[in-house]
Amino acid sequence: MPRPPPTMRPLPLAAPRADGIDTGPVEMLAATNRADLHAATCSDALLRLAEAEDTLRAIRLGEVDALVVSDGESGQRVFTLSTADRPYRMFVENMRDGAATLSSGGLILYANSRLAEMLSCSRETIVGAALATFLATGAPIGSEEIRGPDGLGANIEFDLIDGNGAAVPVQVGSSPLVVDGEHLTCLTFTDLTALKAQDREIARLSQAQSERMADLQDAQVALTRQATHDALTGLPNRALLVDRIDQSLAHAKRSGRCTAVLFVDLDRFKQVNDTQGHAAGDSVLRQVADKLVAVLRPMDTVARIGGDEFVVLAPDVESQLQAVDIGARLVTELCHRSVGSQDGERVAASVGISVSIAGRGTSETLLKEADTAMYQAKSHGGGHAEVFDAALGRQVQERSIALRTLQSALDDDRIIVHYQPIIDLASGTVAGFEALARITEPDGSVTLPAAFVPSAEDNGLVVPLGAQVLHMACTEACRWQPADLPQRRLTVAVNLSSRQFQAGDLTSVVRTTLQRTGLHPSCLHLELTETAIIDLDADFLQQLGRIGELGVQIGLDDFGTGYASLTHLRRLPLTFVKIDQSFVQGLRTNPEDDRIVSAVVDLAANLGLRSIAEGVETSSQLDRLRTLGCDQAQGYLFSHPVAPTGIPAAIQHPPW
Amino acid sequence: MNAVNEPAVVAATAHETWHLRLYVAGQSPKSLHALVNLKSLCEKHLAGRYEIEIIDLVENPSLARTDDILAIPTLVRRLPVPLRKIIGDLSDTERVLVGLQIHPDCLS
Repeated sequence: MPRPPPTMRPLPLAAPRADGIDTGPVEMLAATNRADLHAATCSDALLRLAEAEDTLRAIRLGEVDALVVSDGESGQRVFTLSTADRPYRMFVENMRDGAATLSSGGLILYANSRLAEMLSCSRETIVGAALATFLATGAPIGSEEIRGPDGLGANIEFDLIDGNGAAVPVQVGSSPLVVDGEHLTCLTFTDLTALKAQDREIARLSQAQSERMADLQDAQVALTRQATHDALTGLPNRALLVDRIDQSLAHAKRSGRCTAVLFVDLDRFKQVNDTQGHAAGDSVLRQVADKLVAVLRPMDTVARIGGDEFVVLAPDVESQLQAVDIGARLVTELCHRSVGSQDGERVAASVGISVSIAGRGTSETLLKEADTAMYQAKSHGGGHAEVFDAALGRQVQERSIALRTLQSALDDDRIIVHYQPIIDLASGTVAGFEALARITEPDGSVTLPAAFVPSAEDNGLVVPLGAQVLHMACTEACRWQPADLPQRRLTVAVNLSSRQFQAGDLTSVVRTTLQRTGLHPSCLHLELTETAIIDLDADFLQQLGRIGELGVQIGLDDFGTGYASLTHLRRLPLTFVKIDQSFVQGLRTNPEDDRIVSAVVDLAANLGLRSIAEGVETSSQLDRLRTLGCDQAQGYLFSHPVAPTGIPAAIQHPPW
Repeated sequence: MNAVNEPAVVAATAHETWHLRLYVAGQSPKSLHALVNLKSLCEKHLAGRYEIEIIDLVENPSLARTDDILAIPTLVRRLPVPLRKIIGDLSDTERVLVGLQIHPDCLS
């Protein structure tokens, strides 16, 4: 370390004053005399030496990376050691972007290795070359253009041309740099090749995606239509209909108007389908659909909800009367116009109408009511419209409850049979019993047949019910037969329904039952109601004949209440008639009833039939029946129907 | 260095703000090391009562004359007096503590 020139100001590191106050170098200088100056100079030299040693130590240990050198008059200059800019060099060399320094004349002074890589050139080729060499036509050439008009460095995109002549898309950032008075430009080049490829891929994918979206939307529309419309006619289906009814009801709640639902069912459609094939049937359905749409107002909805079932929703009608008008018009249009198959087979329609006032009810109840009214119209011969009324609805509901009750009773073996004694009036002894079905309810109560038999007739459950009762009665009757008096057999009378004849081979049912239970055929009496024989046909007659041939007796129940004619009495293989209790109860009080009973007893006797009086309640009625010559009788006067356990007592000790 | 004066000086300056000046050359690695080392040392021993002044001699070489700087980095203790210099990147903490006359026993 050279000794500092004399002009240099005194050392700041002079020893502090004893009071500890730093008076500063200038003050210190002023305070020193000549002798002091010498001492100070010595001390100064020592300190400078120590500092120089310190500096050398730091250099040796690598704790220093720049030196300050006095440059005479021009002042101080700083020299950095070779390691000082290494981090920046490394940083620039290894950055992902290409980097270059450009002279004001557009020559490349420096390029990092990434730029050489991007240009597929050696660095030696690049350094010293004009940037323009690597620019595509049309790209900004000079540093002025790249810097932009404001000189702040614009980010612009253009193509570089690499050593192989291939275009390399880049984004260029630039910034001015002044080094030793020379104006340079720093440039960074971001390679956009991957980005551009990505952009193209994104564009391609987005195009594909939008095409797929369009396809999906089409499919969605098709699916929605499929889910809400009937494929054959293009009409709304049940789901859409229900939705529209719900909407109409919601609207009617505010407007107070009427909503009409008309259930349209084709009357002879099954025949068209069966005789002319499904294509003809489909054609009829399409014609009906077109006709309905043509006849109705645009605001009305026509839906197809099943085979030949259409429903019209008239969402806004004045009154029930207007709904009836619409129904009548539909019937007229469908019956008398050109709707029909090619063979000229005309279809007719039955229409059931249900009307909601001010949005009362639900789509479900409206549809159910219209359906019920439609069946009513159909049962009255079809070809016309009927309006649902509440009484009809109740009846339907009761029927459906009865159906469930009876079905569960059959399933749960809760059918029991009670037996009412039939008394031989001449001897006063028990001739046999009439079997009467009962249902024991889960709560222990007993339901009588009047509550479930009529509906069982309607819904067909009378067939399994009848078979079960027949079996139980025959089984039971076997137990009654007195072992000691085989000639005095006790009979069991079981009621039959015409449905049992329609259901199939009743003869074999009866025969099988007799075989299985072992009951003597002559002990079994089957009773038919008068109403049952109205539908008399050849098959029915044949079955009755075969059953008669088994040795089973057949009689007519409730005689006088129905439509049985004398012809019936003659044609059927009957052995007895039962005089209806309504006449029996009028004996002695109603002369007309008396005359009827008298005539029936005579008629039966003349035809060789046994006469049995039902519902005998008083001894005076009994006396009169004896006088008239009636053969047998049953009724509360003798006994209520009894459970099987009460039968021995009834046989042994008749209370009359 | 005057060992006799040390305790009195430190005692007198224990509650003063230390003024430290670091001479650097741009962001040269040793300059940055020195700054990092200085900051952590000050936080540890002089928390709340020091200020660091940074002088970049690359930007302004003539300022080297103020404290007769020869090598970079160099730390100068301006206050408390007397003025003291530490040359190097301050990586030897023990040496720096001694050089700055920071004695753990005398510090609050």
